[in-house]
Amino acid sequence: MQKLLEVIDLKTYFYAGDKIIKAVDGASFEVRRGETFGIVGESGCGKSQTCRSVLKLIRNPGKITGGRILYEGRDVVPLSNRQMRKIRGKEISAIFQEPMTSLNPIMKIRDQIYEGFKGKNMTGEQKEERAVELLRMVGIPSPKQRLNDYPHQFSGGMRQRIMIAIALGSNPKLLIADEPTTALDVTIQNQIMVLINDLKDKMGMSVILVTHDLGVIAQMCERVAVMYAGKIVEMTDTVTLFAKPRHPYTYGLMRSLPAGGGNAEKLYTIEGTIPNLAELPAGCAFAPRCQFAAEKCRRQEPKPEEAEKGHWVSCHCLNRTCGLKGLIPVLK
Amino acid sequence: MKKKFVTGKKVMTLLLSAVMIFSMTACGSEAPAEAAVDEGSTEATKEAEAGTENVSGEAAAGEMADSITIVRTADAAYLDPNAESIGGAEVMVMQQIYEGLVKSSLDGQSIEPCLASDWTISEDGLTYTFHLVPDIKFSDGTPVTGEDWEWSLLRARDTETSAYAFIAEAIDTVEATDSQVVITLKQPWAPFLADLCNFNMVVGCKAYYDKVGAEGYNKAPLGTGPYMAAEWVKDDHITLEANPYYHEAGYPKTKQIVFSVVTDDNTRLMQLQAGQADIVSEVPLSMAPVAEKDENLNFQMFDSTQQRYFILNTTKAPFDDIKVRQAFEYAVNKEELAQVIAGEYGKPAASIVSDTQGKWCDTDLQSAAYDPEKAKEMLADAGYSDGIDFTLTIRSGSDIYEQMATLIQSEAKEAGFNITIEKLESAAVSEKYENLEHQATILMWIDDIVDPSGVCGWTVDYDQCNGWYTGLNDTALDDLNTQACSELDETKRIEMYHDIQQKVHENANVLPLFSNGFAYASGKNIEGLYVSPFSVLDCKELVKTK
Amino acid sequence: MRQFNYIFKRMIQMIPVLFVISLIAFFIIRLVPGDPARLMLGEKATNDAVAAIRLKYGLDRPLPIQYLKFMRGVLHFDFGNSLKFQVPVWNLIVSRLPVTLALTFLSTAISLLISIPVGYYSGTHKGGFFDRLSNIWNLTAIAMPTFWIGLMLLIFFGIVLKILPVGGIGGGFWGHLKSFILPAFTQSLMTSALLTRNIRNAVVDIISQDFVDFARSKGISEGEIKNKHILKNAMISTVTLLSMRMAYMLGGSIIIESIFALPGIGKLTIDAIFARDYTVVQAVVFIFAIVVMVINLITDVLYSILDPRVKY
Repeated sequence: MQKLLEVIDLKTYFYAGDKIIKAVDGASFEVRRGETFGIVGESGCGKSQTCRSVLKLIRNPGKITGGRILYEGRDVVPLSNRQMRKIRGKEISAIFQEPMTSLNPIMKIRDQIYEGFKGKNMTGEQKEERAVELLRMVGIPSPKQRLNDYPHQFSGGMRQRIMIAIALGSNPKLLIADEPTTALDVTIQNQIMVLINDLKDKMGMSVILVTHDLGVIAQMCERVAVMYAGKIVEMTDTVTLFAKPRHPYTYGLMRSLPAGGGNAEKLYTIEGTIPNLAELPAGCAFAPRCQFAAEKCRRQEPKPEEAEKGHWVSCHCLNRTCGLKGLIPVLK
Repeated sequence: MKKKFVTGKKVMTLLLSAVMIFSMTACGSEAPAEAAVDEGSTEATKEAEAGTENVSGEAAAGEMADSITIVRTADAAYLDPNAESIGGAEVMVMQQIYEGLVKSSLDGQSIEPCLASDWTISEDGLTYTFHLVPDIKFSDGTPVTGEDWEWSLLRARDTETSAYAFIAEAIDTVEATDSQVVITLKQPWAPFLADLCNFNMVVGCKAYYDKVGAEGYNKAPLGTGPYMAAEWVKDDHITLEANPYYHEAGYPKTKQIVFSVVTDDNTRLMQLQAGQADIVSEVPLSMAPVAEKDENLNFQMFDSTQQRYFILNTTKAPFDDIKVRQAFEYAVNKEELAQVIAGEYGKPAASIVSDTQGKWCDTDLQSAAYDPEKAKEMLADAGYSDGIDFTLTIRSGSDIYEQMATLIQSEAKEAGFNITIEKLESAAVSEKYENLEHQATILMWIDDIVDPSGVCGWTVDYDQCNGWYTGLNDTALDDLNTQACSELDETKRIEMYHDIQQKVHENANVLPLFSNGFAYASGKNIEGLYVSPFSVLDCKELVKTK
Repeated sequence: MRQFNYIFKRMIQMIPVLFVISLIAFFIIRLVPGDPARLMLGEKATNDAVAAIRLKYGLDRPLPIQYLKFMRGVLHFDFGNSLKFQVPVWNLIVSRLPVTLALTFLSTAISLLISIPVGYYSGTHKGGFFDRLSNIWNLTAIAMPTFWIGLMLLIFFGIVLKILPVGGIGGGFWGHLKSFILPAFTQSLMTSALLTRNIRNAVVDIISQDFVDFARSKGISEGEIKNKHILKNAMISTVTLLSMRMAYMLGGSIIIESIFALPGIGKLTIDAIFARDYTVVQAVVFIFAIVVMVINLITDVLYSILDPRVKY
């Protein structure tokens, strides 16, 4: 399987006044053709910023301060906005978390879909045909009439589908989906997930799926990275992650999942809170909350190491399985 | 990041404003059609319409410019001599268009022939026979007929709504032919010849009035004067063109005069500095130094009949007591007032009649010198040892009135008079003193004719305006004034008027303060600028060299 | 158009309001002391002439009768004759309108030309040097007295540089344009300051919204993002502000008209008030109440067209 996207030691910092917020602090991963790659973590761990960095859509006052992002072998970090435009929407598309605010409220759906057709020589009729096709593909009823409607005339779920339609309109090779179902009802969530999967298979596309929901990871992703405080702390294929989590944080996440089937046990929580990204402690960022933390952990930052083939962990306690049984969630 | 500066919205707004300005151009050029003199355009009118775009005209070739621009504060409301509202702005323009039988001399001391070459007055003073200058034509070529004279003079008398109808009151009948005008009076009326110099006693064309109606007559006047009206853009400018049929050869010296309107004092003077205007009337004294220092400008002060007066309401306390009024005369420093307000051109005034009226003015009458101690004494003697409080009501928005009021307030304070200055809007002030609700106010007078009957009548003839809003009805004085108007012997008449001035001074209800001149600024290349004491600017003499 | 119903309803609502305004317009100027007949005649008004004028113009009739005459005229678009000038009031107003209209539109155009790019750039570079500079400039522009600015501009361009006329309306298209550029610019200062602030804040708000990022992720040009997505959304609230300012400017600016010697509505109204020219004042008040109401209606309708989320 070839590498479609390779991210090497990405650093995206935000400069607010005299503070430097290290949103992404040295993340490295790769996405292969035709695979769904998941990034999971709590809010504020840097997963969204990582996605935005790939498309270079970082908002002021943030910028990519280091690392490389190789798309099909070519580093996009030094590219200008103009050059990025050839990639955005055509090679790499993105859909965002909030469908309610991701569409221009005063622009017709039709026009917003057509925007994705820029650069292609299409007549008005061809554009309409394609737009209708896209809407049908994502399951919008009466697509031709609804082209002239405005976003506020659609429900949240439908808007998300429209976003997907727009994102897929140009047959991108990579779809970045940043928490696409978080803001939706549970019933709709599933529909959207199934839809993405279907389309991915049909179009042979890769997907980066960002979520904080381990259930979604289990359902959709082949490989997954766990992020904490701007760094990737563990990265491997999904089955291994659930069966043999090696990083204490991942372990904590797994244990926090409510066990299926009315177990009256209290929910496990990881003690403490995520650190202030502007004032990261020396050493391992998770150390303050880690029950296994040693002196070395507080002094020295652990680098990613390949514990087994394809299984990367950033922890000084690689061999400690912590005496756990692997957890395989009931969802599938 | 490339920014598109030209968006649809901006283009739209620019287009809209362009449309607006175009429409203005269209509207602006409609005005000549409105104010066109008559349908049968003469050569001159055609030239006028071609030249209307060029307001600050530069001469094409030759030494002298074709057009002179005079700027003033207000536009004329009417150009009909018998309209309701005639003030300085109207007179300035009408004087160039209309003429009468006689006119005041430039120095304001005598009466000269105008459209009448000579005249005789009957022994009893009731019949005036004027011999007309032959072949006078209106500016459209129509000859002036006897009917025109009869119609014009009777109209001056009979238009009830005219502000100056009273000037022609004495006329009983008018009989005119093409060569002479005979006017019979109801009673002997000494000021009559002077009255005939007034701006509403001019000749107009009856046939023209019948044709265009009252509105047309007002908008596009037809007269015999050196100029005719060519274009009138309300509140912006009036353009006058030379009358091709004018009866004095070689006049007017400049083909076109433009009277333009700029209310702001600064802007007016700046137009002069920029060369956009040639003559500026009503230059505030505070700006005189600007004009004097600029070597391209001339500043001139012309002698005038303009005087300022302190009006005391005798129907209310405290000025119902004549002793208080007489004491007040010593509480005012006329020298200081004259100097501060009018600079080197101001003179303290003792009599209600301006000294520019020459023999009519009682020059023996002296102003009381400023003596606050004496005033205090007089007040104490009259029983007011605590001093007097009163309110001085003046109009707001006028630097001159404010200055005068403030000065008088501080001067009078020393003398035991505590003055509260009340500033009201112009209309409110006039309503107040017309209803005699004020205690004191400051007013102004400019004569229109070479005769003291104007200001004296105004002060003393109670019916006209309640004794110049003092409420003092001195019937003896009133009678004396009436007699003086019928007294044909000039020596006797002069004596009577000196008497009147003396008595007014004794009544102390109207206190003359000071006189000031008419301030004008002009470009150095302007010659022939002269303003008579009656505020008449004779445009036919104006010349602008390049 | 879905708004027809709404427009119709609003116009019906205007009628009672107009009635109240006509009463106000009629009575307010008559309640102020001052007699138009006397004012017409000037300082040398004799009692007889005053009486004659009052009779001629019906000023001696009882007030309710005069009011009825006014209202009857209004229904025929006839506002009577100006007391001072004796020409139809309607003609007077219409003859002054082009000056005020030209000034209003030119100022608006200048304001937009300045405020849109400045507001946009400040908004997208919030906190930067330009943003802070333009903020200071805006505050200064609002605080500076119009009178002073106007005079300074006239001195500089009219006397020192001698490239623009000192006041007046000029003649011909270019003459008019040259005469209007300074007063329009002076008048635009306040409006452009307000607009710039408004646009800047709206832009700041909008660029932080997801749809801008989403649009960008489609790979469309920055220009299109700026115009179709950011500015179009930002201008919605600006439209309201702009129309309020325009309504204000249409009432004429007495200061601008005085300094630049422009015969516009402002000067007409002020002169009419001072002269107690009842017919002109009541007509102006009435007509401009209508103008403001119509502008408000247009604004609301425009808003609903621009923002499809708004329901009428």
